[in-house]
Amino acid sequence: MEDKGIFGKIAAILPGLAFMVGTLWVLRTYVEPWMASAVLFGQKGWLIKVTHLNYILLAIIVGMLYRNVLFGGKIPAWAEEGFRTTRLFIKAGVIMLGSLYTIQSLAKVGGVAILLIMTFVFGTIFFVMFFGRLMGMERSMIGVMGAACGVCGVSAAIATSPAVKAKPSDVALAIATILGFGIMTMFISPFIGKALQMSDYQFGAWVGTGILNSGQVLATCLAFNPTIAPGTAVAYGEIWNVVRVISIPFVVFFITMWYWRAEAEAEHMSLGRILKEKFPVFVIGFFGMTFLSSVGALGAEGSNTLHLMRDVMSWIFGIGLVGQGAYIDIREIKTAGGKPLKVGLAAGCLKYAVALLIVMLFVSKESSF
Amino acid sequence: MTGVLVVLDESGKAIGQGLALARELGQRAVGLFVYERGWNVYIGHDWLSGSNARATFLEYVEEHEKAAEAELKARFLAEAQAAGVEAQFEAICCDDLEHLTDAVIREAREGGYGHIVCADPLTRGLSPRRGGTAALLRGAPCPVVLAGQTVAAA
Repeated sequence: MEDKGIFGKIAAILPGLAFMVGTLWVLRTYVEPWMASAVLFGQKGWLIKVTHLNYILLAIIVGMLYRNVLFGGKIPAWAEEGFRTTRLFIKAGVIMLGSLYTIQSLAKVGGVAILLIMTFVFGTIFFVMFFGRLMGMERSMIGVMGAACGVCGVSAAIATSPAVKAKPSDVALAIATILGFGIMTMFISPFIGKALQMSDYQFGAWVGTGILNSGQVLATCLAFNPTIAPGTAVAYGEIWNVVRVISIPFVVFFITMWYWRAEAEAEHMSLGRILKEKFPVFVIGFFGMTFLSSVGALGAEGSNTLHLMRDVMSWIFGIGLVGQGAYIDIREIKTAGGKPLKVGLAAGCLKYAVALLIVMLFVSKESSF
Repeated sequence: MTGVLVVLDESGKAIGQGLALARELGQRAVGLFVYERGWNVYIGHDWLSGSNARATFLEYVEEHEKAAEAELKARFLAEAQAAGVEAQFEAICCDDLEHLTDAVIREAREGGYGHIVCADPLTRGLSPRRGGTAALLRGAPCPVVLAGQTVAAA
């Protein structure tokens, strides 16, 4: 492959990046304010009050329209490098989200998060193992779907696949299922949350537990409440998210152990090796920011530094979500099918509904943050 | 336009049909294995995994693809020999943004093949997610024979 050099790489990124930034700027500067003031069905701001659309959901929708309508199903070569920076934006944003917490606040909410997450992670894995076997699914795919439905979607699926020797074409099916379900829940959850008058704490706890893909938890929380500050849906949802992401290596280890029992020739891996290979290093950055926040290095609540950081975060997430929308190929998701679809939908719907029930019954509206 | 291009996939359904057609037409058969490069983009949906997990997965896919190539090559050439058909094997790689079926169409056009034989459904890498045989039927420069089941060529 041709080596473009650092300036060549930056030049290749610029067109797509400028397109994403420009899109978000138009959405935030013109579209969202227009929606807030437009009179529809005799009501001012109907589009926002009734449809709950905000710049976050608009960014995802516009990104999807780019990919599926404007670009005809494939991101064009001139924009591809720029759109690939999506991951970088989202990860940088998540690391910065660590500044919303202090060690004390994490300790207060973390216990509930760990309890709920672990119950649902392993509950879902056991359900997939039972239902997958009932459906006659291959053991390797049961492992992949268990991780994907139990922990956090695509991340867990790709972390588990090599250990259980899953066929890549089957993994592609599993990913399409997870994404399809996640996209559906991403759009309907804010409506359900508003209809049930959930607090930010309840909403964050619910979607952090019930939505399969961790990135979609972030987008859904921001769609429910786009404010980035302590005590908002994204602040709570992200704690759940981080607990899930941290659990990936342990879940991979558990599923690999289960897989070995019946596969004599399967590769044996130690927990240490799995931790080294699968631990998401950016989580250390997240906790680094929490540490800085705890020792007051970022200033007191309301400081200019924190204000600037949150403003930057809202742009970072917005740009990342335009790109993320552009990675959603409706045709690819429509082709999800077979046993992964049946097992994924059953596990996903069950987890989503039971998490809602548990949160409404046992999680108070007020958090201990 | 001559020759039968046999698109090799995990099901192996196209091999018997392709060789039988080549023998009937008295033409050579070329077994085509296509390496996809779209996995990195496909798992771009994933926002939060560690880069090590991504890299391990991509290496795993590559290993899996190499093993599939070796297995399909051996099977194709052995069945061709048994069927008495002149056969060649070819492995190509998709361009960065190209789908598997686009690469097959390009190869068929450049090679001037008379027929393409392909399994239905096509089960190679990401192709089931990307239109598979439907995309091939739309863009092929020559007749396409879809193999719905495995048949013996010999």
